[in-house]
Amino acid sequence: MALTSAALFEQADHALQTGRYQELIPLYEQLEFQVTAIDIDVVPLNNIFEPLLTSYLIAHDLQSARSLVQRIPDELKTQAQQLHVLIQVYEMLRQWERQSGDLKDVYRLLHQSRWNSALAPLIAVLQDSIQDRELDLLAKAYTSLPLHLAASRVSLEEDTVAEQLMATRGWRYDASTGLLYPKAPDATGNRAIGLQEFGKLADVVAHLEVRQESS
Amino acid sequence: MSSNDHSYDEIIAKIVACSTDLTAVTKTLGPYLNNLNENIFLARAHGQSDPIDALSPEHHSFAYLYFLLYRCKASHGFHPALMEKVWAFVNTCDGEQVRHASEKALSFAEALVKTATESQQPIIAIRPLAIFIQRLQATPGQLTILHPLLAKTCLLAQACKDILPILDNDISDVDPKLTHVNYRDFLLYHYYGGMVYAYQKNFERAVEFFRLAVSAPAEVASAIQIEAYKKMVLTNLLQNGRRAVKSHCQPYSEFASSYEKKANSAASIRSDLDKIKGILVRDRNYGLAKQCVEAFHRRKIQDLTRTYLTLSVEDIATNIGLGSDPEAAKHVEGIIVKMIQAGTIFATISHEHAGGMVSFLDDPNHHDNTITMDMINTQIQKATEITAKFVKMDQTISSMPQFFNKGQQGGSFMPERGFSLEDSDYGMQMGYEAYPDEATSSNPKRQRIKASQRKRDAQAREDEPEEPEEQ
Repeated sequence: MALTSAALFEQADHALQTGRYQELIPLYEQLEFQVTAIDIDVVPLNNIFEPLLTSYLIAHDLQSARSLVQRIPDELKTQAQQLHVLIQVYEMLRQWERQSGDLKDVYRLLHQSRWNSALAPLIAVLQDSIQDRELDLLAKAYTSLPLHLAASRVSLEEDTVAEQLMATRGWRYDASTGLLYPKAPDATGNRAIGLQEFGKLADVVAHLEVRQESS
Repeated sequence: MSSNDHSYDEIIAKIVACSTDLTAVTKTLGPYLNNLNENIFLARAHGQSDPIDALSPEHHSFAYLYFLLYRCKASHGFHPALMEKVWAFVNTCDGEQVRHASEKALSFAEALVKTATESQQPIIAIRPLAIFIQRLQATPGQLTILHPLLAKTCLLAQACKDILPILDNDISDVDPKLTHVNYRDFLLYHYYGGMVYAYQKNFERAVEFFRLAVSAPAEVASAIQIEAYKKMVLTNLLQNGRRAVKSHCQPYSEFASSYEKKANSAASIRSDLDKIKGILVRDRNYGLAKQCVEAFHRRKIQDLTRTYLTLSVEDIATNIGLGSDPEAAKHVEGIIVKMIQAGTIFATISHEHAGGMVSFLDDPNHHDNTITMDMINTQIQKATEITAKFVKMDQTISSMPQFFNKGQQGGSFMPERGFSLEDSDYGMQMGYEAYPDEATSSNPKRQRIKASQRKRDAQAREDEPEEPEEQ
């Protein structure tokens, strides 16, 4: 449990390189504690805040992001450029949750800002995760939707949206109506319950019924 | 000075010698350390190494705690070197030893929180404390005097992740003699805990926690219970759309009543909210109440699924009282999409007709799969464990002298069904002596004699180990 900060950083790098983004969150959370409390100044804190905040946004954990943003000291928020942008992205995503604002602004901001080599791969993952999440949702909620609605949710330009969605997600497009027909998401394959399991359950229920009658 | 060094050697030697068994720790070491001057724990041996380094946080946890406690108390602002020791300590300390120093443990926790607050970095205290509590607990469901402190600190810092694993373990073990918890600790923990869950938007657990605070037995409701009640009303509205309990806290009650009336429109709920805005802000419940208003829209939409198979977005907007302009329609469509995402409604939207048509669907989950099975099995297991605990508690209470005294005075104290619990629930054997029903004896004098004889019998039984009866 008590890993050194150096070891934690190493693990984080490794997770980043192998694409295991879910592992980043606990690692950076522990690093935040250790660098704040024990190994102070071993790295500038924004080296931890930036990947941590990005990871929260990738996981769409806006609660933890909110908590983190409140903790970050004000000077750091303005001084560290990448952090400043990430906080703006967080605010925009929060607004988006509340159904105001435009997702396109988020994509624009992510695309136009400068990211150092350490953070750039995570930012690419973030962009994809926002877009994928939206498209999954659209496919779940809509049997048909206007092109411009879909276009406003993705980072692609409107004239290529239809093509891209047809190619990558198997959606259908009807140019005459301007409507996209999403491909319905696959129902998750749940294993049906076997007879033996049912048998056990039936035993328990019968037992309960006997108890109830006798009391 | 050499005489000081000598006394440190003495102290260390004593600590090492006594730390080998718990009786020595509590009977000898405790009083010894309590008699030492506080400064002993702060000072370093002259020119040489820190006496604390001669101790192991794992093996000499009891004494180590004293050192850390006084050092944290004395430090103004935090010192990384001290924090490093604190971190190592909470991760390796011997729970048994620190359990016997629970008041010192609380002082340590308070000093830690104070340090963190003074340096405006609450997370310094939160993570170590969460780990420390889990080591302090004899069982995951045991309430310690540190619980309310951690909950409050997390709330103030708005950093609630670390306490969630602790909150998720329902309190099932409250032992004031061992842990020195009191009634107020129980109330505060569940009040703050409810607020943590509400902050995380887990309203189901929030309601549970507030309810536990509110329903704790009391002759006069404490201020904590009243505040918990107010929050319970609002979180219950959020979770269940209904009022929890009637009466008390008039403005909240009225808001809840009108919320419950399905016929009310979103606009009227909004105006009800504005009417009591002042009170809500004063009680710091305005945020919760606003969430209730948003949830109201969702409830009204859910109600529509009972009546309609399809409905246009525009009609839905009008129906729930948000108006019929395009902005309202867009807003409503957004709400519906979010509800689909969250799984609180099963529906699809089609734009083949201008404006959008919503088709309400049946629950595609037929509950005939292993996920449901696993859920049922887990619940059964939980219920079995709780039943076992109950029977144990029942046995303990029933053999307590106070219980018999009540029986003597009352006579009709026993409920008709007696106290025999059906054993062999789920295949477990739980022996239990059924209580003879006092009410069957019509002679009061004989009743009393019987009662005192039973009391003597019970005392005798208490002294022997109880064996479960097979039935």
